[in-house]
Amino acid sequence: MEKRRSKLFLTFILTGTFLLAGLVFSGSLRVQKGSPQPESFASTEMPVDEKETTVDVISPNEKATLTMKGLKKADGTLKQTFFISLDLAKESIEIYAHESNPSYQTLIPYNTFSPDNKYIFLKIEDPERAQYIVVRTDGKNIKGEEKSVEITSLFYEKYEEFVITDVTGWGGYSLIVVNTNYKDGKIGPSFWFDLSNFSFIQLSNRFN
Amino acid sequence: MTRKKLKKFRFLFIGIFIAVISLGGFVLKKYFENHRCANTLSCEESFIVSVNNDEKAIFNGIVIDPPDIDLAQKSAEPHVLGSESPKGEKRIYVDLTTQTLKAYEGDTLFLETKISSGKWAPTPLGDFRIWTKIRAAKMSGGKGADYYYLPNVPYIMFFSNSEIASSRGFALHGTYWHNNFGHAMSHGCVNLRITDARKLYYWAEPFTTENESKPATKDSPGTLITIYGKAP
Repeated sequence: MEKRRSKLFLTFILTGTFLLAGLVFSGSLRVQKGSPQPESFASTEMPVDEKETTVDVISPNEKATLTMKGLKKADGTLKQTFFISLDLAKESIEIYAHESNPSYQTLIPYNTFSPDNKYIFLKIEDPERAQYIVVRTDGKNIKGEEKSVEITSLFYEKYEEFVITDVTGWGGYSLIVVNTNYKDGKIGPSFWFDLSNFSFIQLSNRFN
Repeated sequence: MTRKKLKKFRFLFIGIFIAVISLGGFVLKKYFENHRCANTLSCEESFIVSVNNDEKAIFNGIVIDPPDIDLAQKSAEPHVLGSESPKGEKRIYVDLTTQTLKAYEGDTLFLETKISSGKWAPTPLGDFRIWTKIRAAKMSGGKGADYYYLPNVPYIMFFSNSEIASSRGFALHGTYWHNNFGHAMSHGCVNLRITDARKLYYWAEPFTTENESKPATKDSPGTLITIYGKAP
């Protein structure tokens, strides 16, 4: 009698365990199937606050400050606005703005300022090919009606055999250092991008 | 008989002559390389304080305006006597491989930044001491496309050791003519951003006050600088 009761109890426990395991498993499957849902759910019922970030970069001679204000919008886009204040002036002027998907955000390189603080260069991230642009710090157009000059496209228009590996800084007041490789991966030459005439000068030295 | 013998050894004499000339040339070349100034045209001039606000500078074949220097202007830097610092000895490390500089006071990091070391001529390796600090001076050298003429080079900290004489003019200093730090760009000196050079100038020994230039002494020896690695 005792044995029979414990057998029944064991059967009950095992059946219960299997049932519970089955329920948990099917539940987890349902959650996995429904996993894409939370994104839209979050964007409709739980709106993400717009986030603003500010980054200040002081020029090497301490006479100019570049401020980047980034605003991450609720729709996921990122608006970045760049301001300059020169010679410790309290007022800053807007010199460039860029709105994009966050994976195409604009970065401030370490050597962004030209030595005389008249220009800055910026890097726009791109999963396929980074872009580098130059902007004047007085807010005026840099070329014709354009506020910025994009170095990368200008380079590839002229030099198809090279790949830009990095744009590192300023070799002079108006000379930007562009490092390249050959398309097969071999180390290529460095170039100046000369802002006085928006042309490239191939160098005999490489600026590693 | 003697003539015959001389004829026999003629080629040997010519060979020895060529070998001696080559060896002499090699020794002379090495000597001049080892005694060459970092700023070949202005080595001695670089050791004298000079402010030339009206002069133009030349770098990479381009004429530029150097920043004005006003020696009467007060520095905003706090002046702390380094030798009396409770934090410990001050040391500067320059890593040519990563093109970075770190300055420590004991174990406390005072400054970490990117530099530009020798590209057209190598920056010497080893342990050095700052032997004098010059608030501003003129530096010139190079030739052809590499010619440079740079008045108003700010915050110069000349260093030397028993192998690299002070007369050769190697220094850490501020740089206004390029902004490509993290990459070799100099003729042997260690280029710093002006903001970093200023901080280091007022921090490192020998102690200096407002816009002062000062040599190291027994009582105020120069800060130790260790330069290592290999420029890319």
